Amino acid sequence: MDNPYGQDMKGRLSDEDLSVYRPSVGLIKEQLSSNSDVFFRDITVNSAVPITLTLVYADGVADQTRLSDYIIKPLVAGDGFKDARSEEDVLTRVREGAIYYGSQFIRYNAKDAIDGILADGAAIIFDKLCVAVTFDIKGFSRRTVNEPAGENIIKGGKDTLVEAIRFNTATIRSRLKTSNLAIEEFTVGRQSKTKVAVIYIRDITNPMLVDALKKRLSALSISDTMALASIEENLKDVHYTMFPQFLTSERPDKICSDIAEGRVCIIIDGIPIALIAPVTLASFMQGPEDYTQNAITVSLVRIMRYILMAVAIMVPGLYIAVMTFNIEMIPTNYLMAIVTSRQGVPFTIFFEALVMLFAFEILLEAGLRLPKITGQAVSIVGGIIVGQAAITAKLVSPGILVVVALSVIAGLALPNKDMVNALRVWRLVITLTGGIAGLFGIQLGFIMFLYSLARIETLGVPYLAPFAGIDSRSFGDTIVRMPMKSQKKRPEFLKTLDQER
Amino acid sequence: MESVRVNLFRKAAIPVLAVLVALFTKCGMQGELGLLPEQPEHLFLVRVLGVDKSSLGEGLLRITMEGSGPTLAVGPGEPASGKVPYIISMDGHSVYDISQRIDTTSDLDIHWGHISFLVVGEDIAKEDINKCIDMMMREHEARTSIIIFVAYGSTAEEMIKKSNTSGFLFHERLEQLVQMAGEYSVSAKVPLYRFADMLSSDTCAAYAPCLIPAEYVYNTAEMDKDKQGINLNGFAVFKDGRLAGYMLNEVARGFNFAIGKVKSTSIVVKDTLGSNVTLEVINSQANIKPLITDGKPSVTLEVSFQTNIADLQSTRSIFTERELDRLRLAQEEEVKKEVQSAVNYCKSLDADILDFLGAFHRTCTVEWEKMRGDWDRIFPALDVNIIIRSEIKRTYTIREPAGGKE
Repeated sequence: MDNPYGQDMKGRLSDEDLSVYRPSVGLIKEQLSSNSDVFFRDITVNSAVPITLTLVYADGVADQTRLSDYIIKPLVAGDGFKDARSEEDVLTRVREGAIYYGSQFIRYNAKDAIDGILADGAAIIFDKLCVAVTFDIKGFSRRTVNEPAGENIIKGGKDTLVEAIRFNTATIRSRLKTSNLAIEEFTVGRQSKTKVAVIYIRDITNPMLVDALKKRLSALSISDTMALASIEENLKDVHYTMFPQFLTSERPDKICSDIAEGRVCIIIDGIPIALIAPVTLASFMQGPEDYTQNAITVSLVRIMRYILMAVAIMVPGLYIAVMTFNIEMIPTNYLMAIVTSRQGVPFTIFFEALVMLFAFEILLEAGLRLPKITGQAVSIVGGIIVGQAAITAKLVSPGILVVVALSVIAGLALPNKDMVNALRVWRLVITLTGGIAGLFGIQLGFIMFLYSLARIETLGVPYLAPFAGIDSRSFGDTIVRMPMKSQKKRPEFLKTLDQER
Repeated sequence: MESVRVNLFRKAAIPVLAVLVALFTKCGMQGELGLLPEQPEHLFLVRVLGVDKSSLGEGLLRITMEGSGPTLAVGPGEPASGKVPYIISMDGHSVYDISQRIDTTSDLDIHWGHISFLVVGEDIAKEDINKCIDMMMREHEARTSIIIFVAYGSTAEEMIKKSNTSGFLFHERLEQLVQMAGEYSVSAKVPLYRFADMLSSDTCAAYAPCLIPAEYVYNTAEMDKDKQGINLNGFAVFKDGRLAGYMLNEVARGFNFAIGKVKSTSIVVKDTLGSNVTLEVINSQANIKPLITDGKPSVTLEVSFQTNIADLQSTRSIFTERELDRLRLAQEEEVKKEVQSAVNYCKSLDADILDFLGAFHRTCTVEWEKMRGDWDRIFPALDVNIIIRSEIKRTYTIREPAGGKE
């Protein structure tokens, strides 16, 4: 068959143009001419008459063993094509399974063929027919499954997601064996052409929620997806907020648990972290060990986390407000102790607090950027030695050091880093409002904080659910964790198709 | 277009709300909204305020403040164990006037937020107590829960200055006294808001606890010979805002029984051998029942209390039903005498601090309306029937007195 679209098409074509041309060797060579890792090789099929096909593969992406054993060998040395007399016959045999490799796709347009070569590893081009058969023989080295770095637990699975999307979807499927588990793939990124999988359970998850997410993914027009934020920030509902709108996890068991609850998971090829939506504030207060420990113990810990959240954002502001505007609120003996410790300190409490908050932010950032051992040394030197020296030199008072340290450590004790980062900013906001306007400023800052939480919806679910609204049923897994036996229904705010767990 | 307006309104809502609240809470107008508010180490925290008549002229007041301030903090060269009182005295026209003058003539910024006690000198209490408390009720920094005292036979200044020792500062001693007021129940703490309520009440007179100069007994660590101790004993009774008299010792305890405020005390009665038996009162209740018979008002004052046997001086066991019953009657008799003396004293001053008129107000409103204008005449002659009920609750497991034979 002649190629009706011009075998010798010259020059680079856009994706749209490529999608209307059929694949041919000339066209594909032209389009991939600047890719030194893509090789073209003519192979003669072991057929009744000499038939030459073109094998194209991306070196490094394609697993050479699989390429040789499962694709070249059947074509060149196998018996399956012995009676073939034309490319049509060969293609028919390939369709019938003469190349005994499962993951193969027949491509009728040049764009799909090129994408298949680059993403999956190899293709055979039937130049006269203008058809390509691509083979998924990706074989580049994959990171071994380690223990989760950020969500390690004692009693529970020790595996994590890896960079390869197919491995991750397989891991999830191995845990959720239901036929209703849907794994829908999208290709995102004009340059990266990254596979993004949307995973949910068809008869549980609210279809409106899935549709909304799929619609956003389809409409996504970005260059690449090398960073998680490139997808996360484009999918979220409210853009100008510091609070995270997707839960991230690297633990397959946690991801599966959320999918089974009626949430949707997004896995991106090349990123070993899954995005989970929709989420609420309560989702970010749940630790990885919450479901492996005793319910009463976990409930107490959870209550403590909410207290810690309040401590993290409110304490420096409250301390300044009370110490500068409402000192009558402090018991006299405590006040005198603080006043005594402040003798000789030249700065106001407000300024002291800002300096200390800034100092702690420096320590945190330095600790993150430096190697682990050096980071610890910086924390010790910064926290203890410099802190003590600053007190002795009367640059700061011990009171403010304790207050700011308490607030920072309380923030770091929360389980979700994205939430911790948001609270760092809010701590500063409330410190400023408290320092400027006292308790009135604290109230104002807190109202702003609540407002910024209340205005967020993730895929239509209010961020403050179930606290805002009448949804008592969903309280069982928020501030406290009720025993599993009593949590028989899925959260109401997720509006799942099947309410029963 | 409509949604743009809604969004604009939402965005503007918080700042507008903030400004409105700032204006209506006076934050903006008072200049309290600022980047450089006063730092606590520059404040003089008043702990005790004493108010007396000034010797400089008629109508003038003299206030004495004991407090904690910047120089009170232990610094270099100061003995670590010593406590230095920080006392300021000044004369002026009113409490506020004087405090303003102290603010402007010294480097101290007076802060009333930590005041705990108000001591009123006897002279000014006899003249008009309202002069001393009005500013404390108005001042937004001051707590209305501060405890008021009257300096018995003394000025507040004298009491504050003489009672500061190296062992205790005056306010620390007052804290102790207030904490222990219920131990013997010859006095009680009266917060300023309660005192002010009584002063402005249509139905009752006011009372305040008394501070009495006492032998120096509490500082055993270091005796300050030129100093004096203070005790909390009895009540100063006010009639129409003026000090009318004092109830002390058992009369004051009788008053506490009459208002049901005895938390703990001891009653000593005799057993059949004439030896002392000490009974520890563990609680008390009182109930006033007003009655009008043929247009004549009367009051039944029911007092009930419970005791434990605390101390026996007899060598004979008293733990028989008959003997316990006899002891119960004896303790009731003792308490009745004290309550009666308190009632009689109030009648003699024509000061209804027991709030009998209030009881009529609550139960016989129509008759109260007729009586209220004439209460000064009715109260001294009021028929008060005192009923005492008691119970000896615990005899404990030691049945025999020390030295008693099995």
